Amino acid sequence: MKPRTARLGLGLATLLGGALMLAAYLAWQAAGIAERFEAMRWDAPAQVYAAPLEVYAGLALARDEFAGELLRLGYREVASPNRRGTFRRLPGAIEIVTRRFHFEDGVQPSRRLEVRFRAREVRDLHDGAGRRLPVLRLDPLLLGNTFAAGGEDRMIVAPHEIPPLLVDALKAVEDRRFDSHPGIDVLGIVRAAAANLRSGRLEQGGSTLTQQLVKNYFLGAERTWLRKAREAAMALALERRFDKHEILTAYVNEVYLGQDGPRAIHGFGLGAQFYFDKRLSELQLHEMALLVGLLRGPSLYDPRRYPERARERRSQVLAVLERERLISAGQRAGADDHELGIAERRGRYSTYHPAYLALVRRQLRAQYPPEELASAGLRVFTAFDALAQAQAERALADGLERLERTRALAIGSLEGAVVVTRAASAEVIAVVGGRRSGFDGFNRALDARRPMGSLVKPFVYLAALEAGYTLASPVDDQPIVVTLDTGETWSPANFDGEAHGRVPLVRALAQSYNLATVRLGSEVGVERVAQLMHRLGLNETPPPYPSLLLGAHELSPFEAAQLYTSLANGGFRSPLRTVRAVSSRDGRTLERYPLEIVQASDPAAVYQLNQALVQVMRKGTGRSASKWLPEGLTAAGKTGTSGEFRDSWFAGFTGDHVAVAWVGADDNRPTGLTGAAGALTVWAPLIAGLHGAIGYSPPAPPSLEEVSIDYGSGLRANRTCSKDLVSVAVPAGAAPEWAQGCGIDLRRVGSRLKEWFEGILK
Amino acid sequence: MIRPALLLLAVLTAAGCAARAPAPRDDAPASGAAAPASPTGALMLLGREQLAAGNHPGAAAALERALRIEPADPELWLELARVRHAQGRDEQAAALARKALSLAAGRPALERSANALIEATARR
Repeated sequence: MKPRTARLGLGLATLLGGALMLAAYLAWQAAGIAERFEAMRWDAPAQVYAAPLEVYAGLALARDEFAGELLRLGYREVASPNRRGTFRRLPGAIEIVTRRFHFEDGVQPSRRLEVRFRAREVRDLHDGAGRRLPVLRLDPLLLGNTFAAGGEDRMIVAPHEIPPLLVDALKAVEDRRFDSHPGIDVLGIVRAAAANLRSGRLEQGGSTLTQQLVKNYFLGAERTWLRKAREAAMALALERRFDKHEILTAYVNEVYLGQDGPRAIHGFGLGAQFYFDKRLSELQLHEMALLVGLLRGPSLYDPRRYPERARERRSQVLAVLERERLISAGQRAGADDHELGIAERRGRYSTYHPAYLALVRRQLRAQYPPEELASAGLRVFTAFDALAQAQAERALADGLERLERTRALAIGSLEGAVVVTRAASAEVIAVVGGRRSGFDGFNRALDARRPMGSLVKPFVYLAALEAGYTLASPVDDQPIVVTLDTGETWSPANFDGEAHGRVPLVRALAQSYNLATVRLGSEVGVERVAQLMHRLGLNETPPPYPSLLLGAHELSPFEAAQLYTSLANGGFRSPLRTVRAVSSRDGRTLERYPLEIVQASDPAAVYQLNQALVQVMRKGTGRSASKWLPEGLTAAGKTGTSGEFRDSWFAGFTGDHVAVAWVGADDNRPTGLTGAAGALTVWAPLIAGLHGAIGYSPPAPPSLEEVSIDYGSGLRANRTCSKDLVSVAVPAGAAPEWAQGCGIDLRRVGSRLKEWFEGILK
Repeated sequence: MIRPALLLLAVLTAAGCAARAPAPRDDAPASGAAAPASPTGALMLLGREQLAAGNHPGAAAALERALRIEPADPELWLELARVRHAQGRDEQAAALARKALSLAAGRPALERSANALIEATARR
């Protein structure tokens, strides 16, 4: 063989080999693609929803507050509400067209309603036909796709939610032969290649929607011939395996439409929200045209940075739609005249609540591994209350700032945490994990375990009430020496350093006397107190050391909220929940977390205890709360302070809300704050600001009777013999003796007479 | 090109049609002559309908909605107890009936019903 032919042969062989290798490589790439697509095309992080607002006659909600809520939900205020998600203000009323929403318990259709108001509450609701509607459940706030991995975010739309015009527009503008080509469009490629050859650069794509999808899914941004070849091979493979409809749905959900800081905006669902603050189904022609135009270059035509360019591009798209007869000339002209109408970047995403979501994640962890939350497109319905959360965040931030200022503490030296629950449903509605509430850092509400201090005392007293003590029973507040398991002795002291002698239980608890509490707890048995705490919701029974009685046991604000929710719920325990239900993307309910209760203590005993916790707020260590609480709002609660003022606690409740606040320093340094001086100043403004709070006033159990006693002695008394009366509930027949000088003989006769009369009348 | 034009028409009128949507299936019913006007009354009715239809989770969900509005209404707790009883979840039914009892002072008829339910759960 001559050298020349040999070289030629070698060259040909190399070329052939190279081509074969390339073909094999492409085939190998394409082979895996279908499976990866199957796995990835539904790659959608869980969507987490807040609790929906229920609107009904009598709800404490003024017209403009309602309008504010609607705006927060992304409803638009318009002159004449005809579309879903719009409303208008009328004198004393709001006219609204609600959105259709798929709740965990079924689809709620869109409806047109008039909600009328009187004073600061809802008067009634009427539908278009003038019928009264008893209750309206609004579509809930979306808390964002907080389980997204890698900073990507989706708002997945189902095939039936994609507007048909969008489908047609995508084909008309991006891929005219989409319905017939096999994944690549040879004619399109030839045209593009010709154009590229002319310009000498790789400018025109000629990419089909399928190729664009592949590029978004699997390939980086580099523009090389090899990548183009891989893209084409993969597109062909995808088209063989999936139908056009599936590919188009994936495209609509996947394609890149812009950038919001570190967050990539993928898909038309999120795009509609990001640019217009609307649902995809609510977009008008000019808005849809703008989004379709963005596909050519999301940063090039960014309507916020280059409004002129974006508008020009929108015109081009509209012209294509008219040429393809998808819209009329009049529609094109109308849309062309529209302003861009880009939403301001206030964004519902700025409301990021990592502390609450951490709790959601923990609750779901058992059933759903992180991969599933990040990719299975689950819909999670929670009890999150945006207003309560905002109120809690503000109360903590303001409270800590005020404490640092008025007590001359270093700025930023204090930290805190708050948990808010609804008593009856045992739902957590707000969690603040620290003063930087938007920061996903150390979550003190869940993870900071601190000595509970006097927050333990209600459980000592409840154990005593269960054992037959009454709130009027005397207990000695005298120096006491406790022998510990180690053989050492321990002599606790009162906060004020004094001993107060014989006092009734109600006073010992309201004033948080340590000596009386340790004595009472020793009489009842530490073991019983520890077991009671377990029954009321602590995961484990705390070790029954005497130090438990003064609050050495460490717990998190969340655990404290669990315990106090059981008290507020009358002794019925339910595990605190954040998640109500989880459904799949197509609306199937996968899991419900229903309300389940266990009677953990005697309701009558808990009723008595709570009466004492009301006295904490009226006469005891919590009375400074009245500075913030609305007049007449009955609350019950307890202060807590751990050794050397390291932890300041307050836990308490009204008729429907329970809140626990903790204030301290991250490095566990003493802050000098008691529960009343610190955490109470966070708790009280928080409770005062909660919407439509109702006072704590449960019906008295029939087995109890209400008696007035002298706060000092605990003896039965009236105004003639006591200057310091307090009313307590005691088991019938267990009323204490009358104090001296109350005119008891007369009264006894009187009450006998009354009983006698009642006996006749029965 | 008739089809796309129709589609467009559909898009543009979808919102309007939806506003005149037929009577809802899953939401609390709009009140007719006999239906209760109170939100909890309506939700309790919805719960009873769901219970009668054998949809226990749906019934419980409606009652939980009502309880969020009126947490101290013993009738709602008792109704939820009945749903659990119908599901054969006796322990839960008894606990819920006890919760109803704890709020039922001064309502003898309700107390009797709650006690009867507690006894029924104990017998099974």
